[in-house]
Amino acid sequence: MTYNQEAVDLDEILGEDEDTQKDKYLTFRIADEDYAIEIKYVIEIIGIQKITRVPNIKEYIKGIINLRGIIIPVVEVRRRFNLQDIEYDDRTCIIVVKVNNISIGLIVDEVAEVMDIQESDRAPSPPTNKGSHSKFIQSIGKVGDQVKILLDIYKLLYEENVNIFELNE
Amino acid sequence: MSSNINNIDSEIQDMLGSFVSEAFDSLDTNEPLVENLRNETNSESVNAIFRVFHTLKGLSGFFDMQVINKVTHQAETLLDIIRKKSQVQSESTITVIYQTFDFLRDLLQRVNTEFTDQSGREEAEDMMLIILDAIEKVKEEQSGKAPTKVAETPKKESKPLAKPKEEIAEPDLTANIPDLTSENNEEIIILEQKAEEEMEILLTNPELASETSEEYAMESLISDDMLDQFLNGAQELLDTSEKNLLILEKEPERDNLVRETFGAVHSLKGNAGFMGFSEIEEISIEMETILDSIRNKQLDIEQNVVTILLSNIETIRNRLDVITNRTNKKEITEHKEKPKQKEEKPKVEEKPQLASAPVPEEKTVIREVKEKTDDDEAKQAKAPAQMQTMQRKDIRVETLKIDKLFDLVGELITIESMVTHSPDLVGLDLQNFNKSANMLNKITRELQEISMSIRMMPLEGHFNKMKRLVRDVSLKMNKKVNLVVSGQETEMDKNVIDEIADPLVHILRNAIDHGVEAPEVRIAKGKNEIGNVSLSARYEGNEILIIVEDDGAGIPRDVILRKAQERGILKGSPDSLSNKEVFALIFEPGFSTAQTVTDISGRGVGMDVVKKNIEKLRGSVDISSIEGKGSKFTLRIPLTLAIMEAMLIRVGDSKFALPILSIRESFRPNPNSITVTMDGLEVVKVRQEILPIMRLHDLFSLESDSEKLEEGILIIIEARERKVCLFADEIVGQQQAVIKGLSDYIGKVPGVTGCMILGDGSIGLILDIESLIDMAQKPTLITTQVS
Repeated sequence: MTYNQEAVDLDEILGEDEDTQKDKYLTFRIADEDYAIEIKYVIEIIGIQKITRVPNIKEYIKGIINLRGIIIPVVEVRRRFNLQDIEYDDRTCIIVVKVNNISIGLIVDEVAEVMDIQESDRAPSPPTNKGSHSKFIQSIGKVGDQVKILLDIYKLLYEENVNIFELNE
Repeated sequence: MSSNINNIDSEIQDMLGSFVSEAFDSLDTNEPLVENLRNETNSESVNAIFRVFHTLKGLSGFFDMQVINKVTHQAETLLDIIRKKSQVQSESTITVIYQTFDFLRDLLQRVNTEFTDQSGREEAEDMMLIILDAIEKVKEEQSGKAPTKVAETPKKESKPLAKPKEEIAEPDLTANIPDLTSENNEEIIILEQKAEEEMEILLTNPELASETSEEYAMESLISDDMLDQFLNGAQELLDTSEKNLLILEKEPERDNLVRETFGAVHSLKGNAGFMGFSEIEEISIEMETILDSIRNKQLDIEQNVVTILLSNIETIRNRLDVITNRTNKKEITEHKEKPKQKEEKPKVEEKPQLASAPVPEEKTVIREVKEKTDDDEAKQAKAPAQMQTMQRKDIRVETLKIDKLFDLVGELITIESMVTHSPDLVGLDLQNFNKSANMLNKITRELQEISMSIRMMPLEGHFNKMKRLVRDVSLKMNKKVNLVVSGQETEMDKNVIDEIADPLVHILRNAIDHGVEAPEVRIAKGKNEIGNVSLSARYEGNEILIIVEDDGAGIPRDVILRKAQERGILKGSPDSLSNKEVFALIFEPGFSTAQTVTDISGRGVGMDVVKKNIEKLRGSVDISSIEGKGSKFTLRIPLTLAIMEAMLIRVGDSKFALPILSIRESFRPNPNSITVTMDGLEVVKVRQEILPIMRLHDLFSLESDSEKLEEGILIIIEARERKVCLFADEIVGQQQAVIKGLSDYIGKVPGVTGCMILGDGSIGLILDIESLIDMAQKPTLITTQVS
């Protein structure tokens, strides 16, 4: 399934919620930097819980959790950004997102808030050859005098398929 | 018979009006489907159109519209032929179907104004000739595949083995029985010609036409439930008969089987008569006659007699399939067109009233109808006893519901163990709670067993089909084969049985075609001229083994290697390959060793399918073979049950589940029994066996309580007769595990099949015994990524 198709499908599923969810982003913090993902992918936010490690899988997948009887894999976003793991504390959260009809948890340092970032306030990410994780950036959002990094959730979750998405975009 | 406008009261006029509008509606909605026949072999469209004609035929018969009745009957015949062999239709056929639609509209228009269709009689003759022509054409196009004409039967005899066919169908069997007593032979041909004859009779004899349509009107008096019961019952009766006949062919002296078969056919005849399926009834009568002669020792059981009876069974099966399709179709239309159905029903109920209406001119008709009804009543009286015995046996349930039930039972078991193992209960002495918890546990287990057994079916039905296949294939290949079947009582998940059907067919065909040699070759080799093929099934651990073994030529290693190289499948030196690896080559797509491509096997697609289907079930195929002695195919299929009995073990703070069926024993090792080889491999001596030790904490990069083997526990696991010792900290307990998949996002994980939720809500990984053993034997495969 291509990126574009999926986006359309999701819009259809969400239907009337589309308007209310438009331009809304969930912001979170990792290593003192503010990131944001589109709210439409977010199912819920839960506190950190016991993660069962699964051997021999991608290093950024931390393991699986049991969320009310459903098995959900959790991604350590820090590892995705090539950052050091830190000790989890009571601010550590798991953002549960649903992408390609699969529920996946994202471990982040701290969840900030849901905010509107209008299209006019979003600028394409400046071209860079610095650091590999800039490929997850969808655009840069300006909120007042702050800057939020808007993440492309597909790229964040499916690094290997990045090329496929780029072709279709 | 001829309807007169003056004699038709307003009620019937109303009914005719709704008949016409309904018919128009049905023609209009389904006409676009005709287009589908042009570019696809869409059986759904064919069925829909068939249904249009069929419904019209039934209704027109009921209203005594003979012209429409005849035309639709013929159109139905055309569609039936098209339906039997799905293929793209030629332009001319499609034109004819369109013409028929138009002509029917014309006739309906007449009915609407004149209350009769008699004025269209002459045009109808022309139309029917056109359809007849189309029928001939369609048949010609397909004559290689589905001959239905008398004239073709002798032609077949001259070239019985050279047809480009994959399926073994009845026409070949009729071709192989020229030495049959002429009397019986005639009977069979007559039966096969039934459809055509019926049509011809209709053309010449309008009285019969109304009788046939009466029969279809009867059909609508029969509820779907009854029809379902009839169909299920009939299948069972046919299965029994087929099984018995195959035994009788070898052991003709078993009179009780003759009687049993006679009884089955007799019941079938009664049921079919009651349901108004005259064709099936008549075939059954023929079979009954033959069986009766056998019973009275007037006729010996010979191969050709059995062949006739079997082909009769096949014909009835085909008819049943047609009926089944028709009902399915009806179910769909019922959903879509509920209001219409309601309209239709009262009409049918009014039938007796209509028949006994005081119209002097129609007296003859009334008597006919009455006789018919009496007759049916008599049959009805006879039938209930049989119907009742079938009633008890089964009900049909949508598999979706069963799957849902399955899921729910799974959840229930998880919750049950979460409640009874709740950490809140630790240290409390709760006598009443424990009592109730035990009861709950007992009931959930029972519930689980029952819900599992719902989907389980014995392999018997499938194996019986295989007997038939072996018989047909060996006749066709001129080979003598004795099939020995065992383990048919082994039960498997219905979905799994469906999946293994094709692979088994391929393997058996191969065993006969490539494996078993021709009789003269076998004699030359000093073997019995009759080849042995065995088909067996049994449980092993949490797998089912299905084994096909033959004592034929075996698989020649060098031929396979040569072919593989020719086809570019094999690259590199073949010398290093083990026999197992060489045999595995036959599963490669496009591989075939057959010298010539026969119509049974040799195109190199079969084994490819076998592998794919079995892998889909997470099973595997093993081949072993000794040249000149025979080959053995072993299908290993996991029970694929969502629930299993698991042993929980702990390594550090991780818990793992092992299927209890693969655990042989566990013990705390004595340091003296452990040896470490030069390259660090640890082995333990258990009685006379030396087994390798796998440290789970190393394999999965975990912290264990102790590195010392004598402080933990060793668990011997076994799969496919290979054993390995797992090292863990301790055994925690035993639990019912509801197997959950790891997320699709994670994908396949070596050594792990899935996970389960433990009593405290945490997750335990379920270990994949087989892949663990593979890992133990090829340590290089283990990738220890830190997670």
